[in-house]
Amino acid sequence: MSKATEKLSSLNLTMWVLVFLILWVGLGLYLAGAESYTEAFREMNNMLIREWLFSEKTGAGFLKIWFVILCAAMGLMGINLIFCSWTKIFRIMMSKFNGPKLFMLIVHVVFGFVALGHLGGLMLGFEHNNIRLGEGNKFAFEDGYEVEVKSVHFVGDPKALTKSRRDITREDLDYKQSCAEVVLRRNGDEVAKDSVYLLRPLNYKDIHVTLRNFVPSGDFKQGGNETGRPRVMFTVSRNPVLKIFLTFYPLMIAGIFIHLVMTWKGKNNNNSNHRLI
Amino acid sequence: MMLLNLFYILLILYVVLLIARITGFKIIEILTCAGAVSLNLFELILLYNKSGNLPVFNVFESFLLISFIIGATGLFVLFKGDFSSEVRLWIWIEILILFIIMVFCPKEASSPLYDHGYVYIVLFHVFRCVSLALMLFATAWFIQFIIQREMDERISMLSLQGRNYLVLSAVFFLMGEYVGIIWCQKGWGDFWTWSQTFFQSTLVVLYLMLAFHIPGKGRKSADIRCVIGGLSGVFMLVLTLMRSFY
Repeated sequence: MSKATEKLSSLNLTMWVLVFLILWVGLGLYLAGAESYTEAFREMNNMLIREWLFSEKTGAGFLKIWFVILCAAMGLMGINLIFCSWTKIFRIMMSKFNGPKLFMLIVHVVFGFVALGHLGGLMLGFEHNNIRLGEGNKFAFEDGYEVEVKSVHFVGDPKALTKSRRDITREDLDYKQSCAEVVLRRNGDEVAKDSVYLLRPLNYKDIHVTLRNFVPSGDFKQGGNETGRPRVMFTVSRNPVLKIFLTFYPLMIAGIFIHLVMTWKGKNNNNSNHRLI
Repeated sequence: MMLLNLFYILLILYVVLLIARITGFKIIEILTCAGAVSLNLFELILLYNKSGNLPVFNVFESFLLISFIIGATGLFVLFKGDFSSEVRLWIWIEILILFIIMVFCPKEASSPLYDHGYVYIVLFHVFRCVSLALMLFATAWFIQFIIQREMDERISMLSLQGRNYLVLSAVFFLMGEYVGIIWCQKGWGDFWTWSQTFFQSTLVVLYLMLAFHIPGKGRKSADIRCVIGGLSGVFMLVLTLMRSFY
């Protein structure tokens, strides 16, 4: 093994990248709490990160630099993971591995897929946030799709419409009864129709129409059919890797748990130098 | 008022528990522990009856639940075996620290928010509480390992137990993250948001990863591993308080 390969696969590199990431995400935590970055984070959250990064309309240059360095550090950790896993596969071929170590290798590979799924979720597909629609209103988006609100059923106290989501109580809103009837069309043809509830979106293939909130009709500024009924606020999103991500994640957790069970008693009670994993 | 009275009775019971451990009255310690854990459970049931939510949503509720988990685990695991007496000392001190923090929090049930019965939200908070409890449990083993490092050859068992409970806490934390991802996806149409709460979760994951990836086989590496592992409970506790108050 060359020296470069050895360094790239080393646990030392893993440790220092993790230390850096902790500090860097800590900086992100600080920025997310700073008032001067509130608008920048709002922009970042309201569109796909790929669009945010390359858009000239969005400001916050430092936040973009922060994000790029975060990605670079994650990339370095990915390289470290690949080299480390490859070295371990080589050792398996040399029959120097036992069951728990083989299991831990599998967990690391699955973790790699989870991380890729997370990155894919940030970069692929599309996302449109804060779409406010009343009855009869439509919203058109990518690939000839269009969502139309047929009706809005709000069961609760209208005062809840002006409250923050964190302050709405069970008496204010019956979230299991309140819904919006929506139709999803592609190129004018109906492809899906359902009642969309809070925490129960409409899913068609990998497109999700998510009801985020009910809002007062007076807030609606784009015209449309004024019925006096509450409007709804949607997020329309598509994440082509969501199912893969949601499949690999529990596999990773199960893998860690099984590895823990396999190693609970340790190899040797007199050895005080065992690694945590 | 009853919640408040029960809280202070519990605080006194946990202080008695610590004194019994320090003075070495094991029978009194076992009886006090059983009483404190039962009363702790009773207060959690009262909170549930009052709000209709599982008691996991505000600092008072979640710390009471964490105290209960640590206390019950201590009751069933730490009255037999090597070093159990030493580790118990740190466990009772940790519970008292949680109670001291609770002294400064409103001692009331959380508001019955409309979505607090939603299974993914409930599970997210429950898993977080279990994870923090196990992390603090691991911390106790690591502290004793660091203290006894020079004194006994059998101490590797201490760091092994610390490691076991820390990995178990990581499993629960990741389970919490997983149900949190489903909650966010169903509630907001995306499983990730660039915000303080998400950064805090990421920091915990990164910290646990760091604790599990300290290189080396020597004594110094073992010490560093145990210090970082031991601080994990403190790290998550601070982040939990930050999330609750800011």
